[in-house]
Amino acid sequence: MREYLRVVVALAGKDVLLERKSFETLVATASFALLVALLFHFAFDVSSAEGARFFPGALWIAILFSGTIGMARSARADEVDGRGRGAALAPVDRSAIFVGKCLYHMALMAVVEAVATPVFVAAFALRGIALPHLVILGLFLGTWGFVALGTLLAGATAGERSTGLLLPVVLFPLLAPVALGGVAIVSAGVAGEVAASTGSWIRLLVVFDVLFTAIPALFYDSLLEV
Amino acid sequence: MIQALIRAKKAMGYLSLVLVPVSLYMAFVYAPEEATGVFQRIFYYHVAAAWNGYLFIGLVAVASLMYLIRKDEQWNDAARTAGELGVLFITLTLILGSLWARPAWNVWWTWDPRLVTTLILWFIYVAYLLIQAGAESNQRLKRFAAVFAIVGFLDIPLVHYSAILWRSIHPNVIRAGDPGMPFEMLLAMIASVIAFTPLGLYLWGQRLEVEQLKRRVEKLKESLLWT
Repeated sequence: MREYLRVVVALAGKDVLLERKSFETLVATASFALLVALLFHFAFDVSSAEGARFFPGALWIAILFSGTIGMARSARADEVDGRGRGAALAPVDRSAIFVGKCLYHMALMAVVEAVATPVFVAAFALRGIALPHLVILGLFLGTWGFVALGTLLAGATAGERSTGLLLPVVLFPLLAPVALGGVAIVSAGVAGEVAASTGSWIRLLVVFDVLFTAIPALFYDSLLEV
Repeated sequence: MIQALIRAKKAMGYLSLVLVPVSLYMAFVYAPEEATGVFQRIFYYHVAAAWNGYLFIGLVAVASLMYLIRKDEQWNDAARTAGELGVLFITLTLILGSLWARPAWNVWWTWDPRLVTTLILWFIYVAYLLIQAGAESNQRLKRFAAVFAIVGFLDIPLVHYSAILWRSIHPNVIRAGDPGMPFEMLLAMIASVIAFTPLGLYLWGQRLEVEQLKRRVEKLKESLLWT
């Protein structure tokens, strides 16, 4: 187990190291997330009174859209540079490659969210967040499920011609529970109103996250075979 | 297993030839007319289409799992063709449901959990067909399609549960669960479900046979090319 974790961290570290050379993926992903806030205002002309109502949904749309682009880009770079093949040749458990990639994408999204969330709070004129830890929990659980499925699908579609369009089309339908649950938990956190359903949403997302980390890890082996 | 399905194709065809007219009679003549009028009779085909849709979506998952275990191309064909039929029947379910909802509920669409789940299901398996369409002879993509089908199948209960949770905080326009129906209606519904199952299986057998013939043509082409 310790050895497995060491491998996972090493694989994720490799991607972080590559990213640190240029910050290309990070900058593109984060700026896209911020642009969503702008577009949202242009599209709906949100007044400061409605800000709290729109904030959770707008933030999640920004996360899902920008994250999809970020993961597609990262997977594409792996494919083009042959890094994916290199990792597949490493004498490690194949599922560790998947989990390592998830960890890297999780770190990427954590930075994006850390930048985007305060900007969205300002953009939607929130007076404050009643339960910040609940918002963070909602973002964490939602992002984990999103990243797990996104990593699987981005990796598998990276070699295809139509990858840019294919990834969101195959990924978003699966993410319905993340979109609904993430928005519900963040909304509860912003308003400070914890309903009975908030606990159900948290449990649902935990099940989603564990299930869709375990299943891809189980089958990742067969996806790498040529 | 797949050979048996192809062999059973004819029997399924004849069976549906007998059963579908019976179900038509049951739905349009035998079952009493409801207060909402003739539109209610859509219900019998709406339910039958939904049943077939869920059946084939389940079969996609089973065939995909078999493909990952056995690595036999035939299972991939079975999964893909079942996916085509699943999407066909779910599309019919959504269209028929919408046509019925207009006179019955006065809306074309409502965000009832069952409707949401069926819509997401439709999107998932359209995506599955898109992956399969790009797969052609790409083994890796075929395996990915199989994994996707399994992930999609496991996702459905979570989608349904989240749709229920989502709606529970909103006013509920339509009560969950159908109102109790007269015995004749129930019988007509069961008849159409029973009639449409062999029809679906017949179509599946037909598609499987086409795939098999395609493969044979490929083999013949190859053998003639090298002689």
